[in-house]
Amino acid sequence: MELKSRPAYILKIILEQKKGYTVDRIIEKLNITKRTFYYDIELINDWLQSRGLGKLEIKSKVICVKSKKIEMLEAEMRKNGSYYYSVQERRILELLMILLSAEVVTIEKMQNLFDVSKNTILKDIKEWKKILGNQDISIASSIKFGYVLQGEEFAIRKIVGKEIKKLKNFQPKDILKKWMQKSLVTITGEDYDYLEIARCLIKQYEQDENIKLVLENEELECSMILISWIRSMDGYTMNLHTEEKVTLVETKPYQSLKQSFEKLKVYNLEIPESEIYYIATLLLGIKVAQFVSQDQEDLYISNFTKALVVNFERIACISFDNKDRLMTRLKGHIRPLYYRLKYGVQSTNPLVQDVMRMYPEIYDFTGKAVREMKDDLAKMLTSDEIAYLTIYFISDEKYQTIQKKSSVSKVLVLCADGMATSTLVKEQLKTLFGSTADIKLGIISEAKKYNLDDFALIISTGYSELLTHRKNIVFTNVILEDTDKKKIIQVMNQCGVIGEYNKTIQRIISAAIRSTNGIVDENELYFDVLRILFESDNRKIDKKLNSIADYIQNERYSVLSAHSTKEELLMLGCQKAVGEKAWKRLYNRLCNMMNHNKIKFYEISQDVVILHCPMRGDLNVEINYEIVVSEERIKISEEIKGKIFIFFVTVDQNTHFPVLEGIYRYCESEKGKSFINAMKGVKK
Amino acid sequence: MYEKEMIINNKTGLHARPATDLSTLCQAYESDIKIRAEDTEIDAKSIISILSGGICKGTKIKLVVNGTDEKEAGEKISEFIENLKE
Repeated sequence: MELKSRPAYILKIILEQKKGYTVDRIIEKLNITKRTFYYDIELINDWLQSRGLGKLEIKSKVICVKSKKIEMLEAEMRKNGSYYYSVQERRILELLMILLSAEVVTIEKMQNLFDVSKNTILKDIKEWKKILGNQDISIASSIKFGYVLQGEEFAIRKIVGKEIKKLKNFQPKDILKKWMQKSLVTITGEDYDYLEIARCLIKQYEQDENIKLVLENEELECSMILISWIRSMDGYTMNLHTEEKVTLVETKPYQSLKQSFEKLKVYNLEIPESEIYYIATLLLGIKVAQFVSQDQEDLYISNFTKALVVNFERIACISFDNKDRLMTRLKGHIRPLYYRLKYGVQSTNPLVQDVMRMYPEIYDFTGKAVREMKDDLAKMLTSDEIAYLTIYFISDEKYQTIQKKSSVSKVLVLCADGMATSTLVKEQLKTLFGSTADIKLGIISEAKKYNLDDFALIISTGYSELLTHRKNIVFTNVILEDTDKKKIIQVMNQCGVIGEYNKTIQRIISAAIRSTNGIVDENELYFDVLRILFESDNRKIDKKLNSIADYIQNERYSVLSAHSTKEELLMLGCQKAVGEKAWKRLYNRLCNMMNHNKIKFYEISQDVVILHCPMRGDLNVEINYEIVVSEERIKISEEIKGKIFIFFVTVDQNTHFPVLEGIYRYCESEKGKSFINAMKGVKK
Repeated sequence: MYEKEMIINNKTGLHARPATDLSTLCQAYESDIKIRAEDTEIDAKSIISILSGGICKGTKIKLVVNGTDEKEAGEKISEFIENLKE
């Protein structure tokens, strides 16, 4: 009579514990019933008796061995090779058996392998069905095929990898290796050491790149490579998204593996292309959150895109007219971006500096929208990636003219001689650009002290080495001639200062030329029309708004009295922000939005909240803001609460950007922070 | 140049584990190391190249080593191949 599996294990652990083992402890450890336990004790006693090696005794619920031949018994148990699988090990191996076995998997086979009852196996399968059901994976059975797994291959392999990791002991790991080897021999018809071949693949990659991979668990990666071969040659392949493949094709592991697999065809290893991508992902490791299925990954990317767009709207105080279209386009970028970050593939954006210079507000809003997200993917975005995202927000045609309206007004005039020359050039430029131009005067020899990138245009009447290679420089005469004006127009267009206006102006000039018999001074007309267009847009911005620092210094903000309600806060803010004629409309709009939880807001810092007050389509309302400070924290909704509220009025989708950016910059500055702390009652 | 002809004696030939060990040994040397078998020439520093070379028991090979440490490399590598047991 042979002592097997569980009874052998029970006897071993009792022998190890010299003081004996409690009955309850053994039952709990093995997860068996009392009836099963006492049945095993009977088996053990029969075996001990048959060999004259003593017996088991239970006293006060403690079980121990009573034997005069303990050493002989211990030697006998050391010879006993049967292995008792824990419940966890057994269940994991059952799953792997179903996945990998070269033969049909039946209940009888599992019973024989693990030396357990049919009921135990059925119970285990029931447990698995429950767990796998959460990932849309099912266990089906038929007479012909036995048990099989059905579901998304991505999810199946993810689960299998997770379960293999839990196997710590030699015996179960060894069984797994044997199964994998047997399966591959059956499939290929060749008895090679496939595990070793998988190791060679990894080592070859390390050789190719002259690196030492820090794999979390090399054995696991090798097993997953073998599983990839078995499953794919059985017809179950991994189907990665096209964008993911495009990312992986550029990576070193993929290129090394591709070459290696070409050579390994001599081993009858005809691995589908899709599996090479999958194995490359194993070697690259994953750097962002892991998902159990591709559906989950897709959902994550969709949610990320949506959150980014919503955040941008809140921060920029706008509402996109065609949000769905923007999200579709943005998702087309974010998916490959996600895969790049997932595998640590760096991407550089040659346009980043241009984007930051030409669209500083939108770039800043995009950066803030990303940082608002606080998830792993958002934290990994570099300034290059943020610049790419900015381009999507810019590409909405309405934005193409905005930045130009603000920074176009910044012109630097440098002259070699005294102020008289500079003033002369300035007056001529004011005639050309109108009152919207913010013209600064300087001397060529002191050009270094200016941050030249801050200016849309630099006019210099003299030569300087420092200025020569700049894109935004125009060398002119003191009296601007036609050629000088042409050069100015050319440079402004090259730098994107005029933007879409250029097309409109060209069309007007063409129409004027066609409709007149006389000569049209194209340069003059160009500037005349440009001036009108600039002035009509800047009309919407009250010059007073251009300096929030002055606003604060002159204490133009309102202070709400103690114990005020949120309605009183909104009323005061609306009255101050849009005036007597329009405040009720705005107030009603905000109350309605508040009741539907639709107020757009952004928390600039703790207790400092900007509230978007949309007044699009409302006549006689201009871009404006009003700061209302409250002694106590006021809660407008679950999410919106604070002590300093900035009611920010917008009239369209973009003309307010410079003012809004000014507010953000002020709040981030030292002066701004001091003001905020003072208003919150915190002494510096 | 160091050259030596040998016959592969071990049961599995130059597969899997011997391939890994052989390539690791070869990488320790500066010289260019090639194994010629029938119509094939294998870069002995590349595991997969050795693996896919199809060199099994009984194959006649020629070890060719070319470089600054060719003598030392050639002797050590020949010794390794001749002593293969696996």
